[in-house]
Amino acid sequence: MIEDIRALARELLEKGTVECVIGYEVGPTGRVRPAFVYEPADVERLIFDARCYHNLVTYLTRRNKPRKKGEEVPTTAVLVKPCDARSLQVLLNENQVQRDKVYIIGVACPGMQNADGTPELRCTRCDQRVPLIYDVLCGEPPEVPAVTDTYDDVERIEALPLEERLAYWLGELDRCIRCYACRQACPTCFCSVCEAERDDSLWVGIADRIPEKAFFHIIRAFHQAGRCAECNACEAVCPMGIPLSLINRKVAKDVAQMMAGYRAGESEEPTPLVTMLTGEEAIDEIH
Amino acid sequence: MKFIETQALHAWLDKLAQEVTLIAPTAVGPEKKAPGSRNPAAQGQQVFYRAVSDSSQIAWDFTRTVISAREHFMPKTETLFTIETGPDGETVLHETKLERPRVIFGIRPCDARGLRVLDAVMLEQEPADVYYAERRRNTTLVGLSCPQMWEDCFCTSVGGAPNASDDVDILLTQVEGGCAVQIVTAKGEELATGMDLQEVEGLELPQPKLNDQFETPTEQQWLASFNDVYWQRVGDRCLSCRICTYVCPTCRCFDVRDETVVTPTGERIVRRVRAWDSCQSVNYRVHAGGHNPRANLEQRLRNRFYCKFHYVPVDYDVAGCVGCGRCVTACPVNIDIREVLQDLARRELA
Repeated sequence: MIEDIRALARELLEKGTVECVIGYEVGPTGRVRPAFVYEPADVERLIFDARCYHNLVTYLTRRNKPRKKGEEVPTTAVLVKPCDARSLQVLLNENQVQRDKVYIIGVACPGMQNADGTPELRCTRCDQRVPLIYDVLCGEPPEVPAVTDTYDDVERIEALPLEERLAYWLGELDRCIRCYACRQACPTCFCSVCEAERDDSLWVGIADRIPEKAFFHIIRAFHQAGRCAECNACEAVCPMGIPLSLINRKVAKDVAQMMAGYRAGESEEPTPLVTMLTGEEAIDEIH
Repeated sequence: MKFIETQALHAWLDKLAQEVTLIAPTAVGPEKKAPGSRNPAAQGQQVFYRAVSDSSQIAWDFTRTVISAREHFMPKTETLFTIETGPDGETVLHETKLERPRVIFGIRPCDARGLRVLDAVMLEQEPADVYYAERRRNTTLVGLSCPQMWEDCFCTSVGGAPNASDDVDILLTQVEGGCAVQIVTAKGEELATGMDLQEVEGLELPQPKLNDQFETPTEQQWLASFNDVYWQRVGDRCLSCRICTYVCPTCRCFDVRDETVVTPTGERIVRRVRAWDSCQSVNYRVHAGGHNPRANLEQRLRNRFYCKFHYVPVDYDVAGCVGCGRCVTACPVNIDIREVLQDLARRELA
C-alpha cells in the first residue's frame, strides 16, 4: 500500500496537481508524526501503518486560507482514514474546506494500534475500514468487522450516582492544564477565536481552576454535537491522559438516540444540530 | 564524602514535613489514563512536585515530573490580592499571605538550573517581583541527582549535567544503602544540621549514564536563520497548542487579570489573578489597535526557539534551555528541540 501512496504522491507533486501532500513519517527518534511533503524526491519519507493515529484533516482549515490577500488557495493532498474522512466531510459541509482545493487520498484502514501493539480500543468498536469519501483509495479494503458500538464506556459512567459521576469528572478535569492541545488537534474545532479562550476572553477567566476548565470542556462538547467523528484526536494528544472522548461520545450517543442513528460526517448535509444561515434570512427572522 | 542512610533520610524527611512545607516528587492522578491516550507524557503514573506529609509519599524512582518545579515559584495561578467591602462599607484590600518556609526535596539538577532564567527576569531586574522573591527566599532546594539521562534528556548539550550541584543547596546522590550528600550553600548547611550525616572515607559517586551530546547552533547561525523557510516547514505540523511552554522549566510568561467574583455567601469581591501565559497562543502578541506581529503560527513557533537560545542569553546572559526534554516528550506531533538545534547547527553560513 505504501508504494501506491508514494507513487500517487510523486505524481501529484510532479504534475503540480497539489502543492503539498500531508501524510505520515517516522521522525529521527522513531516516533510517527505528520509529514508535509512538497518535493517529489521526498515522497520516500512517507509511511503508513497502524501507528498513524493522527487525524491530518485538522491541518486543512489552516491551509484553506489565502496566505496573502488576493492570493489563490493552494491545493493540498491529505491521507485520510475512515474516521478522518468523516471529520473532513463535516468541514466540507460547513464550507471550511473547498472540495476542489483538497485531494483526498483515502487509505484502507487496518485499525490503529497502541504503542504496545494492541489494537486501539476505539478501532475495535469501528465498523468502517474504507473512507466514505476519497479521490483515490490506496490499499486493499479489509473485511468490515461485524461490530456495533454499544457505548458501554459511556453507559458505565451514566450508571454512576450523580455525586460519583461529578467526583469522577471533577477529578479528571482538575488535571487539565489548559494547554488547548485537544482543541488544536480537533479538525472540527476551527473557530479563529475560541469562546473559551484563556486570553482576553469575556466569558471565562484566566485561572487554572476547575470552573474555567469545566466550562471549556463542556462548551467544546456541545459544539461538537453531531459534528464529532470520534477520531479521538483530542484524547490522543492530551498530555494529562484525560478521557476526553468519553465526553464527546456521550454527546454522540445522545445524538444517535434522538436522531435516528445520526452519525457525524456520513452525509453531505450539515448536521441538523447546527443552525446555518443561508444569507436570505431577514435580520428579524434571526432574532 | 558525607553520607546518610536510607532510614535516617526518611526519618529526617518525616520530621521536616512537620516543620516546613515539604514539596517532593509524588505520584498524582490515576495510574490508568484514558484508553485512547497516545501522548508519551501521559503514559502510566504521572509524577509532580507536590506538598507531602511524610516520606512514604515520595516517588523515589521517578524520571522527571510532568510539570517542572517552576510551578512552585510561579504558580499556574495565584491571587495577588483581593478587594472586599468591609463591614462599614469601606473598601478593604487583602494582600496574599506569604507561605511558611518550604523545602523542595528531590528537585532534579536541570529544574534547579532553570530557576536561573526565572531569577534573571523576576529577581535580578528592578523592581524584583515580590511574590517570586519571597518564594525563592523562603525555599531550600535539596536536589536529587539523575542516575542516568532519561529518554529525551539533553542537559549535557546545553551546559548542564545529570549530577550538577550548581543550583541546589544540598545535592543527594543515591548510592548503596542511602545517599551521598554534598552541601553546597550556607542555606543547605543550615538545613543539614538536622540530618544524621556520617563521614564515609573513599565513598565514590556513581557516574551517570549519558546520552549523546550534540552541537547547538552558533550565534551567527541563529542570526542567519531568522527568516528561513525552515520555520514554515517545522510549523507545518505544529498544532499551536501550549504544551511545550507549560511543561518548560524556563518559560515564565504570565498574564494578570482583575476578576469579579461572587463568593458562596453572596459577597462581591475583586481578585487580581496572575496565571501562566504562552507565546504559542494566537492572542499573545496582539497589540492595542489589533496588530499582531506574530500572527502566523511559524512566527510563534520560531519565537520559542529564539527566546531560549538568543533573546534570553543576549538579554540576561544566561542559558535559556536546560535540556530537561519535557517539551520533546510531550509534543503530540514530535517537534523535537534537539532535531531543530542540530538542523540549524549543520547549516553553512553564506
